[in-house]
Amino acid sequence: MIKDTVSIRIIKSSLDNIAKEMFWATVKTAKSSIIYETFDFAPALTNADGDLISIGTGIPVFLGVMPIIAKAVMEDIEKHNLGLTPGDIFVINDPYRISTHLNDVALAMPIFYKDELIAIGTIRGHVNDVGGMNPGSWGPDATEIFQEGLVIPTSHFYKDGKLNTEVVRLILHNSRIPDFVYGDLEAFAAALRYAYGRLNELCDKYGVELVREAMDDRIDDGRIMAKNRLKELKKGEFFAEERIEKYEGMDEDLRITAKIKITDDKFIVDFTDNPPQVKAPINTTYAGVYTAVATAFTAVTDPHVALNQGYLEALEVICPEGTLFNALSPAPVSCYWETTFYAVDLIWKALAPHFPDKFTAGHFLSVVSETLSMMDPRDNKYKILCEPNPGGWGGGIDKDGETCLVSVADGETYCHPVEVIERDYPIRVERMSLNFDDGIGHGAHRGGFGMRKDYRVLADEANMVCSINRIQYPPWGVEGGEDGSCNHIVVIRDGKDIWDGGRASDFTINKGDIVSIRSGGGAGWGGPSERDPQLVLEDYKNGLVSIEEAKEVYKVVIDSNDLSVELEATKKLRNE
Amino acid sequence: MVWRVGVDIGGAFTDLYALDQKTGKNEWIKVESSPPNFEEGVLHGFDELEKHGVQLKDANQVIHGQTVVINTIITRSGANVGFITTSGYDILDIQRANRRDIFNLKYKKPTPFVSRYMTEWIDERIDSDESIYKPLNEQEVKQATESLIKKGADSIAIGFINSYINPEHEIKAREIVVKTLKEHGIENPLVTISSDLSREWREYERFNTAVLNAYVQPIFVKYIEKLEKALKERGFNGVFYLTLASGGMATSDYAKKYPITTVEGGPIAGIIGGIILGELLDENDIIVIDGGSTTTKAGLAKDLTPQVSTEYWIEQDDWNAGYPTKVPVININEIGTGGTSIVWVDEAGNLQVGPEAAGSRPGPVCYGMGGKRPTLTDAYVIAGYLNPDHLLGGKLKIHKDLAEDAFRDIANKLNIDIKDAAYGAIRVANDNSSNLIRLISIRRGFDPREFTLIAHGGSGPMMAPFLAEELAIPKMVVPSIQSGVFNAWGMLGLDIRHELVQTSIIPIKETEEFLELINSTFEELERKIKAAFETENINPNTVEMQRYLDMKYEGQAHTVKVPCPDGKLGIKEIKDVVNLYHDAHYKEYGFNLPDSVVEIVNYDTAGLYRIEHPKIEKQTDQGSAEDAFLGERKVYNGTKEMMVPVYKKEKLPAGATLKGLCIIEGDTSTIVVTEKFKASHDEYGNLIMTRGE
Repeated sequence: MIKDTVSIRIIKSSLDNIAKEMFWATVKTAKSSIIYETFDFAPALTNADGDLISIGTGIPVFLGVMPIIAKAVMEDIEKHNLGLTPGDIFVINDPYRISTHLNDVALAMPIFYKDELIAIGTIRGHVNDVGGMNPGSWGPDATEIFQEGLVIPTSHFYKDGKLNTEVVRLILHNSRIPDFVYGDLEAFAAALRYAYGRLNELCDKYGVELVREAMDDRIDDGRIMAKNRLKELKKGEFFAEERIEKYEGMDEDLRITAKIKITDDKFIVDFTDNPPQVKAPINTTYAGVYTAVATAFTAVTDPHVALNQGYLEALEVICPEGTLFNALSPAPVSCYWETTFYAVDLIWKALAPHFPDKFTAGHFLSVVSETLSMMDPRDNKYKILCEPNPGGWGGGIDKDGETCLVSVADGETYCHPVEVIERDYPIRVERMSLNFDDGIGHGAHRGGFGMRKDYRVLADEANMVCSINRIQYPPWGVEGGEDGSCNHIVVIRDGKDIWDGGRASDFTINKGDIVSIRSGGGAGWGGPSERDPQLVLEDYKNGLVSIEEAKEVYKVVIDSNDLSVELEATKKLRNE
Repeated sequence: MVWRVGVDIGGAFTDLYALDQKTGKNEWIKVESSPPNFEEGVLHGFDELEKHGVQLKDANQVIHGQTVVINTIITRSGANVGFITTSGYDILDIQRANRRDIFNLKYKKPTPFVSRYMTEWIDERIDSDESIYKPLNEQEVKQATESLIKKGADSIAIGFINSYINPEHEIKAREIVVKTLKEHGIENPLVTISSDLSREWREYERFNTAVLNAYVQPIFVKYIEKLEKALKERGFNGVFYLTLASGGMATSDYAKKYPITTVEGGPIAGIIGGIILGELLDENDIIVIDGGSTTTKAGLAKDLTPQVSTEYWIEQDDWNAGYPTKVPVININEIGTGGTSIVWVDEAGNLQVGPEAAGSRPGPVCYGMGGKRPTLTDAYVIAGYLNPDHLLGGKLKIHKDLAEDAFRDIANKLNIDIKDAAYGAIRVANDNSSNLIRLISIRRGFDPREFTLIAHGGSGPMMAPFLAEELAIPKMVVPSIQSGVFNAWGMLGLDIRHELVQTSIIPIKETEEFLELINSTFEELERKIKAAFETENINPNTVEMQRYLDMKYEGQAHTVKVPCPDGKLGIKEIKDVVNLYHDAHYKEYGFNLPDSVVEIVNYDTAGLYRIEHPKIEKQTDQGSAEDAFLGERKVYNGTKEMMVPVYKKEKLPAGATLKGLCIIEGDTSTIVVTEKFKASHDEYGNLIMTRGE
């Protein structure tokens, strides 16, 4: 029989759309801003074996982990005799099984057509609190996972279409904000049921066999695309190393490395030469580092490709167990993302000079995330603000760095508006501006600016937790471009800086204190004295460089009266 | 004769449709558009209309949908805008900081329409509880204005933090800016404040809206004034209206102040046209699809009310963040599949249609005008749905052999016959369009099976039955109004409309205090809307008010819009509204949280002054279906070839019923009546298709 290629093609486009539709359904119904503004979640569809068919995602962090959830849940159902009937939805957050951290709670729904398992819908997102020693369930002081919150092994969330109240009550009793957690999980469940219905419609219309064939075909498409992209890529071996600032109790900063090998059909990253897992919450599990490699691979091959298991088969990740990038229980993991995205940054740094059309110089990298929790005196409700902050990106071979853009760890992630924060939390945002205090990496194409945001806290005894990186090691410049600037948070009390750092656990903020978040500026690409003098003039007019900087760093003499470049003087200065 | 004239500027053509409201007599004309001097095309159109006996001195209304606003933005040809904002904030540079193209590590954010050089920061601050935290430094506002004049600002926008909840400082600052500009000899100062355009929270979205308004204002005002002058010279004595993106219209004085509210004022007229037609045919729930040459657009109206929201982003796509525009816009979705979309096979062997298109030049291969790449139109010719010899009532010669040659490569790649490849392309295109309809219906909680599909545009009528089958839509209408001027006709059905949305978040309580607040908020909005009508010389007592509340559960961000009764609200009305909200939430998302606190986010109020909608002349019955019969031709339906009867649309009498499968050829479009449907002309000349027995 001739293959019904057109029907298969149409089913495939529906499969892609289902993941996207699940995504938007969740955005509209979730209760927490980290889902609906930050998009810290992802829905995906896998086949019955747990291989990725399609994914709807706003951030890269979940890319590699979705199929792992589906596989883990199916294994657990069998291994622990959990029982499975159509309509069941399972919940899990065990990081060593499905990676990332305890906040990322996943739901999985095996999808049946009649009595036959045909696919698995999964969705995972950040819920703001699952218990543990700190509000928000993460902090730099944890030395083992048990301090970070409730670990949920695969359990029924819905059974036979009914809410499994025993498990749900257990989860909610362990959270500081049970209403929000429940609201978000219900939003996830609604998206899964939507996928269930849509897939059943497809089977009704085209027959289950053809739907299955389309799923296989989707994965084959990915294989073909990955092969073609690798063929076009420059081959070779590349290396980079960086340092992560040490945590309390460590003797020295952590040296991290990555070796990359690009061949005709493989993209191999070797993380063998890295420190053992640490007693600080920055360990990442295997799926985290796999996601990092997948992110860099997609960036260098084709950022717009429809991602699925076939495309990702070209990856090979070498990473010994028990190390920083492949941690085992009971290593704490609550701030895993900082390390996961250092893994992306290592690959990025190694490849940038060789693939200037795909990469810029280094960026601020950290999520620069703080958690502020407090009792709101306006309605006597306990509130937790948890958010990522944007910063400066590096210049590229053909462009300046972006100013105030979310880091590689985030994606279609919207930073919180001033007016929303002030309405929702007892905070006045007294400043949200470019970070001129810390500056940028100058270059022929300069880095972009970071952000400075000052929160005046208007509640008694608020609590701050933060765990950010790049507090001593700035973004890296390329081809003579200067390094960028570092991230940090400053606490100001009565007009005086009383604290300046990147890691804090259980920090008490008094009413009237200012928490000033300052993200770093991006690095430059190329030497500053090669910068087009007209661009330096524009920067001067826009208040981004001073007359002195123009002269000393860029070797450009600006006439501040008629706002022009003094060409002769500049030429002379540049020839010196 | 008292004419009302609709004028619609499109990318290629400017359409004019004149209607005498009393007799129903109509004239229409199509002329080439003339960017960037759009008024030339419009005036040329009036010259042509005059030749058909439509004198401007006999017209009492001209209703204009234009592309000047969107064109100015897209081509970046607007004003040098000065921006005055709260000290301490770089909102236009920071934006929302999102990386929409998440795996692209060389992503570029949208460039702000105002540079920091053209921005002035003022000491002032409103707090989130409406109170004044820092008073407005009036001296600074004056200095800022002088500085912006020096820097060559043509137009000034003002955006202050929290102005959505208390616009006092913005209003005061505008007074100072206007006064200062006048002192410097500027007679007609153009100053926009953000709270005039939007009273919703989220400062970037609101500030950007104000900036875009200021950016297009000088060019728009100049354009409208030129046009008004020219119309006057031709004896026009009536009222000149502009179509609004919200689906209403407003006088040119209003539009000159708030030109950004007219963005997308053309395409929305197609939806309004569908609504007037629905009214006439007693169809209250409609989906309107406009199948163009390069894209297809769709919109939906439940109870003849279009879906209006303030979530519109200019230049946003899958990979670019775009620019937020917080003015009411009818939800229209668009996909890159149209009649001249290119058919191709991707590297993994998947058949694709669009988004690249051949357009009108070189056009589809079968036109024989030099097009080499196969298009959707070629596929329809090969399958036999489109006439294989000629189109446009014989004006356009068709070369089926060229189309087949162009499809050979695709057929080889897919290892199927040419006719299967062509039919496959039709299926893929229809699948794209079905997804478009899913997007505007199912995704928003509407069941397409409860709607009637109105299909216009060159390719709309052709695809309609296929979409109806896929989505189980029971009924379709192809309007008698010529497909090319449907939008211009739709403009004649616009009501005068002013809408205000105010954000004021408050949990719902059953207390007197709460009732007082909600009632006074609505009253205040209605007062402002009535004032807007008064400036247009419309008696505010004749204005119909429509109220909505955007509501959410505590903690959620996204709201659901629920209609709210008129007049003074009591406990009972509030309870009803809350119940409506729970139902609406369940309908849209499949669950609700009846125990959760419900909050009001936005008070949405629209004032409508109804204009008498155009009628369609009834046609007299003449002849029988036999008279319209043209013959039979071979059509391929994906499994077999068969002989199918073909009828001439213009000769089909009212009442006669044709059973599918048949083809009805009109001068401007071809309609395929598939096996599951039957078709008949109604008394107005609309073709109605319903499920056949």
